[in-house]
Amino acid sequence: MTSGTTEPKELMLEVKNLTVEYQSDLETVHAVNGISFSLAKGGTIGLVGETGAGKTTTALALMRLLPERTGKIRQGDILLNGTSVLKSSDKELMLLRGETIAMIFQDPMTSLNPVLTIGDQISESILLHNSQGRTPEQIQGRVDEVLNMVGIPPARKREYPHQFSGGMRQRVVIAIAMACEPDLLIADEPTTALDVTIQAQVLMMIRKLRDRLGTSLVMITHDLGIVAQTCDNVAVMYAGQLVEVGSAKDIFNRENSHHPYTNGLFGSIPKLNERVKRLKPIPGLMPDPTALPEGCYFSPRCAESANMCLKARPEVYVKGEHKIKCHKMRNVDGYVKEEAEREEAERG
Amino acid sequence: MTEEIVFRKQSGAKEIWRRFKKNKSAVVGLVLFAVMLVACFIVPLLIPYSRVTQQSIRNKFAPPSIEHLAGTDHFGRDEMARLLYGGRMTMSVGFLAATLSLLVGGSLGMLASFYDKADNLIMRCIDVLASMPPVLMALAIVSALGANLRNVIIAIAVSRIPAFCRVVRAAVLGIVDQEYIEAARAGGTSDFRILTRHVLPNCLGTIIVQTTMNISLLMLTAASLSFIGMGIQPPAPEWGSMLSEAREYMRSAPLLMFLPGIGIALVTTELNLIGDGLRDAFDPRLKT
Repeated sequence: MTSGTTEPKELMLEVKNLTVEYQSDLETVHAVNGISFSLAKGGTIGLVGETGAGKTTTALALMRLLPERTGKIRQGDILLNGTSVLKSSDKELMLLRGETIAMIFQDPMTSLNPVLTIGDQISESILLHNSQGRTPEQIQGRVDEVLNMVGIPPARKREYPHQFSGGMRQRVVIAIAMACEPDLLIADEPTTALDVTIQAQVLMMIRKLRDRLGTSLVMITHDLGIVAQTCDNVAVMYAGQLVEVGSAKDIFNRENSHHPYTNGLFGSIPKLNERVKRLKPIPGLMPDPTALPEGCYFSPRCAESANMCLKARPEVYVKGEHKIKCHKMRNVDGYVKEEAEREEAERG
Repeated sequence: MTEEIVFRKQSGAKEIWRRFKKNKSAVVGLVLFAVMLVACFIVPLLIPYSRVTQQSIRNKFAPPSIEHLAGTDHFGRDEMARLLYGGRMTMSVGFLAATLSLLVGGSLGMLASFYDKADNLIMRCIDVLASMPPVLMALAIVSALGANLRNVIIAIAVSRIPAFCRVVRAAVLGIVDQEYIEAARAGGTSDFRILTRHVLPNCLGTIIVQTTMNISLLMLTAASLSFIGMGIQPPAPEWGSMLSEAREYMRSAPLLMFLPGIGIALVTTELNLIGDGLRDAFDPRLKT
């Protein structure tokens, strides 16, 4: 969240009360329901949550790449370097994408064009955002540089995607995203399609690149281990809402109070130093996004849910940077209710 | 980059040719096709057109001889000259019409699949076009515009637009949903560039096969038009009309019917072989 407590940092990204719906003839899918977070320049935030929590929808909304016909941003605003992405024209967006904001896609098997060499695919975004007026040789030089950066011999730039293994392809995808040195990188589950060893390598590389270039990073994942490795801040997402936001320390410190959902997530991870026969999954399923529950969205699955949870939407309770959206927090010391007016707006 | 690294520097066209060469039947098709192209487009330059039209009733149905390499037809005209000039006509009509049809139908199909809003409008218009049998439509267009070479080309091109449009639309639809198109968009690529650089190369295989097969179909349509007297007007030779004229003398002079028939069959087969070869050559995944 806003790191106002320590020192005022410039904000790279600010998402205010973002609400996204998918509208079809028969139903409205409430994919993202009023989420707010911000990311300082050079900072990293991890968006964590189950399948269907709205993580990818959030990422697509950030780039304004939601499917045109169905995906609608109903409310809220996205500020990138202080300017609104939602008010940008198509032409401005085209300049923005690739140069200021880049995305690493989930599946390297499908996110590369099979009929273009990887060199061509990397040089494309450099060519499109060629404000420095690079010559073709300089562009090729940059391609070699980026390939070296991700650990692929530049000699292989004339090869096609099918000639690379999954891990190598993900490196190519990262190279494409990094080619223009974007200010903000969105990594949408960059390692789900990879095995653990390659996963570690890719994460290490993303981290190194981020440190070298000072890129801000939004890491979308369902793997808390990845978040622990890469992120300064964590936002836990459930049914299109952020149920808990805080620094990695806040979230990973088990002594702290947490949202019951976060506790559930941690409960379903095996621990190295304990022998457990069975892991404890969170019972039940994510609510149907076309018909969300009346009260707290997590209440149907929550072990601690009270009468109130079924009726009223919980408010956000704040302590420093740590924010939790749960009724039970109202009795916990040190946590105060966030301004009422934003909550009002969220309900729309 | 270090010095030791040897680039396998090959341009796109060279690479495609290298892969095309691996397909033996495609190469055979290409060689035969080249021979026919030379025979029908260069040799006629050396033969005066008068040989095509000069009649000699006394000398009709002459067997092959030194003077008339393929004999003469029912008007005593030199069959060989007519075959060569006729091939030129048939092939030009086929190619020009296929190109026209591909350009119009293909671009419409692409627009339809890429822009949701245009889809309904374009495809319903195409449905109207497709509701008429192609030959009948070509016939209607020729009779409205008048029977000459240009109108024949336009007519048969229009008659195949629905086929091209639908095939291209289907091919593109399968590609625009792919993640790499979204990735290209995330990189700031414009719609036009996405279409020409990302979508088109991916459906090139389908388009090439469709085009080569359609050239032969279009040649047949042109021949059918000639057959009912609405196509290329006599005495200009054309394989389709030669074939239908020779049908009457099938028993007495079978050669007159066989030669243009074989010509059509050969060109069609060659084009299909070449099309198959090109499709494989354009697809780097099949690279060996």
